[in-house]
Amino acid sequence: MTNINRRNFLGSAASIVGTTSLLSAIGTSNAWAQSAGDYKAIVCIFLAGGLDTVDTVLPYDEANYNAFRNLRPGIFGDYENRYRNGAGSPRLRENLLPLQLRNGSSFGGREYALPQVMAPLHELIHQGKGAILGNIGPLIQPTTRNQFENRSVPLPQRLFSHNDQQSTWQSLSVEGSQLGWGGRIADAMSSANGADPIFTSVSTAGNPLFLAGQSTRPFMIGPAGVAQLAAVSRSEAFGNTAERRQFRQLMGQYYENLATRSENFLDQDVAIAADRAIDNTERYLEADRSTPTLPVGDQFSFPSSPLGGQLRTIAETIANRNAFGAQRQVFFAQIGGFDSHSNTALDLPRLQGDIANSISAFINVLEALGVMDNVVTFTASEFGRTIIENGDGTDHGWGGHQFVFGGAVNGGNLYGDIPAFDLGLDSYTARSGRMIPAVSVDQFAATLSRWYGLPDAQINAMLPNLANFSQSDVGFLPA
Amino acid sequence: MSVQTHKGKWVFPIISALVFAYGCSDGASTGAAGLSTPSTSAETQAPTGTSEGSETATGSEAPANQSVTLLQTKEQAARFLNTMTFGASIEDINAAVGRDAADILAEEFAKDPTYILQTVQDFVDAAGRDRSRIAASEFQNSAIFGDDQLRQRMVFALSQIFVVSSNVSNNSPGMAYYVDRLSENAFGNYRDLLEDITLTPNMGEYLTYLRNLPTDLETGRVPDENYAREILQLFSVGLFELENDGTPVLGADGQPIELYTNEDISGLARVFTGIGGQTDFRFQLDRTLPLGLHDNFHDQLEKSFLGLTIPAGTGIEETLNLALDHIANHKNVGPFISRQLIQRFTDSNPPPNYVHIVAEAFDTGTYIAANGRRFGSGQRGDFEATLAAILLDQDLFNGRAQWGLDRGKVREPILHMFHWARAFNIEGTALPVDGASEPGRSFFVQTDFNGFSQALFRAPSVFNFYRPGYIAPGTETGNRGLTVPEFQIFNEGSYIPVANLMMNFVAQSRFNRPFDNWIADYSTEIELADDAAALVDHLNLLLVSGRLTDETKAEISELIGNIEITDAPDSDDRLTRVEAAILAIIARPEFIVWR
Repeated sequence: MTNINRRNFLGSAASIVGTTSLLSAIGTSNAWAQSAGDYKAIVCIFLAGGLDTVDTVLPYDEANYNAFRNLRPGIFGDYENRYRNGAGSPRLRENLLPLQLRNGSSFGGREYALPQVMAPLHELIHQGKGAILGNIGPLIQPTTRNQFENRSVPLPQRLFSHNDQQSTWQSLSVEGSQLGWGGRIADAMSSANGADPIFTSVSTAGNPLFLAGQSTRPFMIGPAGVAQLAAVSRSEAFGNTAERRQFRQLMGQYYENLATRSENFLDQDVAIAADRAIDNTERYLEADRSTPTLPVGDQFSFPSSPLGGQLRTIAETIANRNAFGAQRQVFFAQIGGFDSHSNTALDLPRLQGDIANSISAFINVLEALGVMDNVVTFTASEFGRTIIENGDGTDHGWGGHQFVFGGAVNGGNLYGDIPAFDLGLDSYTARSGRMIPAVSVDQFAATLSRWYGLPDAQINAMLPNLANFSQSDVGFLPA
Repeated sequence: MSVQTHKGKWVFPIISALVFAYGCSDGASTGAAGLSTPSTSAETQAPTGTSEGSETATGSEAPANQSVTLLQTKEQAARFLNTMTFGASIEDINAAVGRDAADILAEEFAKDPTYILQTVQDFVDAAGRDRSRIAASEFQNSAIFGDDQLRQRMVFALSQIFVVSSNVSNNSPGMAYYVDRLSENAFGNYRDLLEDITLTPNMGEYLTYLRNLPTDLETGRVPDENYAREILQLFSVGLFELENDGTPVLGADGQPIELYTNEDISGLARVFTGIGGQTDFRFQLDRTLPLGLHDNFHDQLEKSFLGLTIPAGTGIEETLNLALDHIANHKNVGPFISRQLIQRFTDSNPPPNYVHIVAEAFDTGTYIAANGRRFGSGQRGDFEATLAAILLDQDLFNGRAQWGLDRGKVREPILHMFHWARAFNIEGTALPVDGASEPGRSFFVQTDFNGFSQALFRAPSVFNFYRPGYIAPGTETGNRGLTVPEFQIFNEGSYIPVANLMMNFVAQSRFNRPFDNWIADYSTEIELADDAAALVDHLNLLLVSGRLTDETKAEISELIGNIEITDAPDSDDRLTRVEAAILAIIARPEFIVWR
């Protein structure tokens, strides 16, 4: 039998708490900037499909820029054709935004740049609020080209397969895995959130493996915000007379007691999902009603895109942290559309602009909320893509570049490496120019976990392959 | 009967001799290993009134000379029809009682397909432009109003394996052409389907092999690998070697054996080059005809994959035939496709012996039903034999009580919607493109908003709405290693949004929603509404094939009994009882899980 604590049903507010309404009036005071105290949160933005990261963090020194362009004549040509007017191709060298990295002298004269649509991220990096992770991906141990080609060292399973590499990034194992590393670090620190740590992990993109923990599981918020049952909360339901309003309350009690009388595991899971949905939604809304809304202004304005909406919802949830009693939180957002086998020049700039504008608004809101130093936000994607093109797109790669943002980040730097565009180098597989990662997901996860507060013993237990690498910390956060 | 535990070991559940009074209606224990016990005890010992409604009836043992697939009761009839259709009406249920399921299935196989391309094209022509999602709208009409229910249900299933998503390929006639290829081959042969789908323009666009260019040794350009990778991983053989029961073959290291490397993918990618417009590779494309094959844009290099080598210089047509034959004949196809089809119809976590039976039917092209009726052409890849094996599996007809606690199909949200629409015979006064009203059509309901999480032909990627191997973390099924793909989208995050959309259908007259033509006919139910128990009994059959326990039925009767019937003029009391009872049932696991 399912036996779950239920709370009284409070259904009376609007059935959908529209996120726009939360953005309405806000005073000029810093009322929303509650004391951040010891609060820490991690936000994962997953870019499903495999971001073409070499066309995101581009080479800027002439030698490598030219080498890259020569490796992708079709795509560069496509950019030129599609942007014939105005300033021309966004991939012209003079149209790129060069990165003045604080550790820029460490890369043998190689220089890097972002496309103009990512100007907000360029600015954040220059302000020291963000950093780049060059060529990161799943590894069992450090791996060279020959070792890969000869299969002479253990390799991550099912490389280049979308679902399996999404799973590997999120859980360090292929599809079927049951524990994500986000969930495991949430587990480890959930006691900081009191006896009932329900909002320890929060997803705006379904039930992601990343947040699957042993004792914690994500609170899921739909893309339109938190919904209440219409049959209970909507005045239209069953008519609006006094008797019918009373009946809606009875319906509410019925939903509250939906426990299945079946022992079938599928039945039970449906009943548990219903119970948690109803119960947690009430608790979320209760907290939400007692918390000031987000700041308003252009710099706080999220794009009306799926990512913008998700990050706004995460910002609202962070604003509610004290009402939830949350001291440690892990968040997950996800968007798709990155599997650019074709039409890279058409699709990628739009996606890059959305990422940049969404993250920029998010970071600005975090600053206004006074939690800039308390939240680390990173991007991830199942793999980078081949350097070699197929005409107007590219295929599944391995290592890729990612971003990390937050006041705690040792910003303005490039961690890991972005290799020269010479496919004969040891950094690439022998075929198609797939980057062999320079930094492993394990090292990355260890760095975040340490900052989040996990002791080394716990980190090592969670990441058994970490010992295969000489550095257990990538260095982008204070240890 | 056997089930697989999460550790992948075979165990044979025995039927518990003791069925406790409360909530133990699934009288099966998966705990003990031992011989499979042919069991008739559970249903006879289940105290009546606490078992899942119809189990006693469903589980009655057929006399020796009687086929197990004979539908003896209304509950049995409803339960079977709800696997084979998008939802049975009372008339359908009554007509099926006393008949053998195999005979009903044979009739379905003989029905003419409903095709949608012509209607979609007419809409587009009348409107003078394409309007998004018209193909989905027309399929919705086929699913709700079509007579060829099994075929349309198979189309929906196939659309979730051979995925084309309108979030990329949104040309409506093109989508209709693709849907019609699924219809045409739904009871045909896998090999034919694979070729027909490969040559649909919308698939070519979606998986980016439309106008895929050959290797260019000078610039280093290589062919797009997208289709090569996904046709293997998702449409045919999967990633690793399978036993015929769908479980992975394990290598000496105890790990599954991967079938191919990226070199196979690169080799197969060369096969899918030179596929473009029908007459001109580059500059012309009719979305409603098979793609054109162009030798002059076809990769001339040798092509090697999965142990097949196609010599350099082989023409495109011969190359495609050789490659698709080789893929379709791989021993993995039977278990790989069969397991996914079972998941779409009857069982989210099919045990290996069930997959094995279905894969055998796929491989031999033959299935012989319990009543002796033979299905299939005898050719490998026959979908008629495959579907008969799925829907007539004798385990399904032995009754729920004999099914393990791990058996059942979680119905995806679109099935909730269609079942309601068919159960209450929606009127469907429509708003086609030209604005004219047309009875018997439904206005398309765009469902991918507010967290409903599923919309027809609009999966987020070629990996569909969910993965066949999805095991929901942190759940009762997940703890036991049971796959329930549908839980990837139907979970605590979507439970309320799905319930709310369903509310908009069920109590449609009270909401000013864009579903104004989804008008239910509740006249039968309103007639029953004075007797709350009778109304609930009726809905118990119609919506959940008799799954509600007596206790649950009493609870719902009491709930709706709170709405007093006043007989005041313009009273909506009876309608309100009906709406409340329907909502109370469709919120329940018994509606969401078919078993």
